[in-house]
Amino acid sequence: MTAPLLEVRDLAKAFGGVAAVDGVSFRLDAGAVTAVIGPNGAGKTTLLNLIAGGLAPDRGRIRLGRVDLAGRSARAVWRAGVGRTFQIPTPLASMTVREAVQLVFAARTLGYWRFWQPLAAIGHPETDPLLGRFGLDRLAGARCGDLPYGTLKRLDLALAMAARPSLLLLDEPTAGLGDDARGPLLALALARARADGTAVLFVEHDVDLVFGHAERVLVLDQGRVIAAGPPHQVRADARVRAAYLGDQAAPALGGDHDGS
Amino acid sequence: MSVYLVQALSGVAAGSVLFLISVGLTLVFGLSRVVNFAHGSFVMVGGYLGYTLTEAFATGPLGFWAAIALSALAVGALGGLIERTLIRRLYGAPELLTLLATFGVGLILKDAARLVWGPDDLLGARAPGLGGSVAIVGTPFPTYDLVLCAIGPIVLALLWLLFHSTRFGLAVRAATEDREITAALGIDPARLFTGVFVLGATFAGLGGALQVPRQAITLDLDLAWIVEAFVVVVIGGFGSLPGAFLAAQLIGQVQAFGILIVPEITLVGVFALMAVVLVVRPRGLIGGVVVPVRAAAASPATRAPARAGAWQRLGTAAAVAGLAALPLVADPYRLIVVAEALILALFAAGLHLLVGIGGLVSFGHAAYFGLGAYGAALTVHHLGWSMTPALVAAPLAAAAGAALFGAVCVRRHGIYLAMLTLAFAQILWSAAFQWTALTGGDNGILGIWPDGWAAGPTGFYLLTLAVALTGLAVVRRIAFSPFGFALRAANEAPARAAALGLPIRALHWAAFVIAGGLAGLAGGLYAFAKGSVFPQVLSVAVSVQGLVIILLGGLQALSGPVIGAAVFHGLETEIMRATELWRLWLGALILILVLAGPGGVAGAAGALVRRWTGERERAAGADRS
Amino acid sequence: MFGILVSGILKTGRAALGAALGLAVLSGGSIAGKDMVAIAADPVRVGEINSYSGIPAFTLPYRQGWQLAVSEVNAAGGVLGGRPLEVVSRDDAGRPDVAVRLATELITRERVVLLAGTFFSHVGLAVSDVAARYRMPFLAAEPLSDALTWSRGNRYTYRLRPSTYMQAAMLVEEAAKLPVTRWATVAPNYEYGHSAVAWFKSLLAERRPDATFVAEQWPALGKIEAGTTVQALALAEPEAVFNVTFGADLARFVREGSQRGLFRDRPVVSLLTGEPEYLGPLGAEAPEGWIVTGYPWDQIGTPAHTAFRDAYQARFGEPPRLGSVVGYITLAAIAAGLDRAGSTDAEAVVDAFAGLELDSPFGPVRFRAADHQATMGAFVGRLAVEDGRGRMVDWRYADGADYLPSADDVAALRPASAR
Repeated sequence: MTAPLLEVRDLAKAFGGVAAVDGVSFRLDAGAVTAVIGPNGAGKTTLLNLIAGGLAPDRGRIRLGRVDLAGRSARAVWRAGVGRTFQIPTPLASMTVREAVQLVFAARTLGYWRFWQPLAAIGHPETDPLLGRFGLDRLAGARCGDLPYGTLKRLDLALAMAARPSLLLLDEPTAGLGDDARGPLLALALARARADGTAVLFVEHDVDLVFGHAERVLVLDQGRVIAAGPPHQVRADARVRAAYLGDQAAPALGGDHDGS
Repeated sequence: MSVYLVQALSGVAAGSVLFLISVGLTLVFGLSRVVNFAHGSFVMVGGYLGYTLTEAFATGPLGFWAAIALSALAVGALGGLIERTLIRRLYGAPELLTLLATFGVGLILKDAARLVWGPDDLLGARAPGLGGSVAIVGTPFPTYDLVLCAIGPIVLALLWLLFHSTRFGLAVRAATEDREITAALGIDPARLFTGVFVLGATFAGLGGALQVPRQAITLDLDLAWIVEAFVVVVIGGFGSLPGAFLAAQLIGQVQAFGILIVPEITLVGVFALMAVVLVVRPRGLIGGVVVPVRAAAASPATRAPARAGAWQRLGTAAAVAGLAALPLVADPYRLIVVAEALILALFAAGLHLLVGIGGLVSFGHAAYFGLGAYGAALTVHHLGWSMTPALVAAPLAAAAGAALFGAVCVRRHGIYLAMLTLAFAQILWSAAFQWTALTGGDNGILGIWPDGWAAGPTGFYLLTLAVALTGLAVVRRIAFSPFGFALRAANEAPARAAALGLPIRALHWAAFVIAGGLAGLAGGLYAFAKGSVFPQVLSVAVSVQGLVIILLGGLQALSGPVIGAAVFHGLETEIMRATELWRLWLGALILILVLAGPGGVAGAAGALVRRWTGERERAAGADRS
Repeated sequence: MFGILVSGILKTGRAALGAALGLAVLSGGSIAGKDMVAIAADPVRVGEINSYSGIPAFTLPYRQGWQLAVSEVNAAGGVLGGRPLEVVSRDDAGRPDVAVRLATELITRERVVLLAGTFFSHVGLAVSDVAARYRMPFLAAEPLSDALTWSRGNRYTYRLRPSTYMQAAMLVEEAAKLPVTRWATVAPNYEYGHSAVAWFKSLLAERRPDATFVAEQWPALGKIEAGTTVQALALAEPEAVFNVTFGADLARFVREGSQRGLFRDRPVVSLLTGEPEYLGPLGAEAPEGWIVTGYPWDQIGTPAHTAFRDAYQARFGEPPRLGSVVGYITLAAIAAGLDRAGSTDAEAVVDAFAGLELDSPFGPVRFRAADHQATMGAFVGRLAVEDGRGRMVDWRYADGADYLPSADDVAALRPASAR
């Protein structure tokens, strides 16, 4: 068995005495697509934020390859090769789409320590291909603050993947989108990830999407992993049915955002 | 031993007064995020009303206390009036805009008080029945101070009751912790805001009126109190009632015992205390609300920094040509005035980078202006350097100072960062004031005049123009460089920026150093423009002036600091020559500007242009609210 | 003007042009530049700057004083053989940077032949530096700092009011007679306070080698925490107190001090407290028995002072304060200096002030050639309360000439360039 890309061991984080994540362990192989599901308040977003950096766990380890990410800054985690999207992306309101992408490429090479040459003049050969891959080429000149929500999420995804990370964290990639936009966005993300060989860990409420796209599913309840495995196996798990799927007729669950 | 007990009691009395004066500031800020610069003016008006009413009614204790209460209520009513007519229109606007508006109110109230009560200090009667002293273990202690010692805790207890057992109080607490909740509770937030503003003004008025038996009422009471009130609020934690009490008492004791050990500590003590508290406990003694200061980015009016189109290029070229040709038509005095405006524009340009682009609000940018001015003056005065190397030393000294202070400041956010910058500026101010051997103290450093070809008004004007234009060009380059975009990203979407690997603190620190260097360059030029440097270059007034300028001009474009500096300096020089009531007029004009065009003069102009030219909405759906 | 500015910007609409216009307005018209209409042909224009909006309680009586003097000079036929005196007055708001700008304006645009005025020491110093640069005579009216005529003196600057050193020396004379040795000092924490205390200490030590200083307090100017300050002084158990606080600080210090028994059986020697500007606000709480410098305006019966007081009260309907006298003598001295110079030439005027003598409501005043300090004196006496207000009793006039170092001594104090 090859070494996993990501190994999380006994991760825990409490807020004001309430355990949000409580002893979570799992592994993620390179290029794999794993979904995290669970009821509201199960600790899904906290788990993602712990991996994404900037939030120090109370205990536990997060190893990406040979690097320990636990308690590192978001920047350090990014440098280790992790990209992430946000449940509700904040636009880089004053920039155009192209400028936002150029900035990301500049960030990859410490180019933000350049004070003189205009960003617009520092071309990066990957800019246009990236815009094209995410269907943003015709909007390159649009102001990010003016973008419709769905496009903004697509841009967020493009920014997260610009540096071709080895691991991509998606925090409710389809939240806030209309029914007809959800599937395409997730499909786009996974297609690009697959093309780049990027592993994906995503938090998602839409169970249909999860079972349709994930290779593995991780079920959290009250901060603990109650099941993990291929979709069909998880779907059949009695504890999962009791805690989460319950009596509900499968599709849309929760509907609201994860509260943690 | 009894002496120390009495000293402690004196500190408690001072702390009580400080608490009364600060409590309104912290409550209003906690609820509505309004930084009320006019709060000190409420104290002053309370003092004047207290004087008038106690002189009229205070024949006995009943009349005295009725007069005090009446003064407090009248100031409360004044606060209500101001909230209803002005502050209400500014909720949701960036804090800096309300700061500017209330700064204008303060100017107006000061001149209004002068018109009503005259310029003389007014010493009121002592409190009837409390004019003497009681012996505390053999040491006499003023009876009235004992009353003050008691009033602080009493007011704290009353407010505690109000906030824990009345519907109004509970609503205020809920709204302070979570602004969204008011709607859910079915409470009209407008009434809450008015209520708390009136409450805060009432206690400020009470604090002022209670001064009548202790001290003369003067026109300077507003400034004397507002800065200390801010310090109390910061040390206690924004929005925290017990925090304000604790901080006020702490300051009272530190001052009472500090002067026994180091008598000269009076200038710097409270600010040093604030700096220490902010470094150790970033959110104050009793962690206050987390408050991001929104400069521009969070405001709905955010536009991208203006990019030069053909018209702008033409306009800029015309402006530069006009300014370069000015010596042909203007007399020396005009050249001096315009040079001063250019220096202010340069100062404000750095602040624009920091505040407008970086979203870091500095309340203490005078520190770097002053470091530059003193840097230039000291090299000339002590080392005998000529102008040119001194003008090189100025920005370097300021940038070094900014690098040092900035390293501490960028670890904090929002209003706490702003207050930390203020603390550092005040510490530098008192150093300049007291380190007489080096700085000449308040008598300053004289004889710092330009030399060589720049000695005459025209030469110095052209030098200033060249340096200022270069500085502005540098800021413009930086604004559109990768660094400028990274800085903007860190401001507009901090989490996104961090997740893209942008080193936010380092970016902020660099912005601090650049803005500090530009301010220092402006300060160096200012020293040579004036021929002398005094501690005033490090004062709060200079910091506020910088903020007023960039807000006046608008935060969205680099033309903002230029227009702001021109308008502000033009108004100031002309109004000051025309009337001694210049504060009144300046204040009124600031209010008109704030209410008419929150985007500043440039913003207002831009909005009109967009309407007139019927600028098309951008391609992508701009209708998302 | 502002409307024009805004509409100008709005009409062009382009930010850059707006900036240009804003700056152009600065270089264009003025709403106040020509506010003095010439009162007769070829007047002699004097530039005057003071902190009228900065510290009005002191500068407004001063202004009335010089206005009275200008009227009298012009009624008597003006200066230089019949030319009227015209004063172009400006408000510096208490800011040295503003004063520098206004001084330049008066010199370059208003074509004044001489500058006068200022209250605060740092403002006076800033203006004196401009005067030296433009070679323009400057008569500093009210600033007290010794630096103005000594360490930072220059050829073009003269000063009327008795300096910190002189006033301290007057008080030391009285303090030395007291049967005490243990002194405490309290002074505002800035240059004036520090140099007043320093002079008092060194001058007292010359007369009373047995004097010791057991405590000093330096409250922030305008922000004294009087209770703790008083207590801190009392802790050292001094036998006497030297006070330099004034204004609002003084009122608080007096109240707290008397309530806390600091002044019980302790003589207090206090700078300036007898001046009506400071004594007036204290009312019936003026501290009795304090030894002060000041101005007993109601008790001076010399013909010159009586004439001044009557004319002042008749015109302004209020009694004169010390600032009124300073303002009055300032303009009277300028008229005398111009007449002595016989022209408005700056160098001639500067030379004419050296050794200039004139009669004033306080008696003869001479501008010393050695250090450009006038010998105007002050009144030294004790405070008493009569009819609900403080007044000076047992006072005498201390002629400034008697409290100045010799010409040789001050020559060493002044920079070489000032001679």
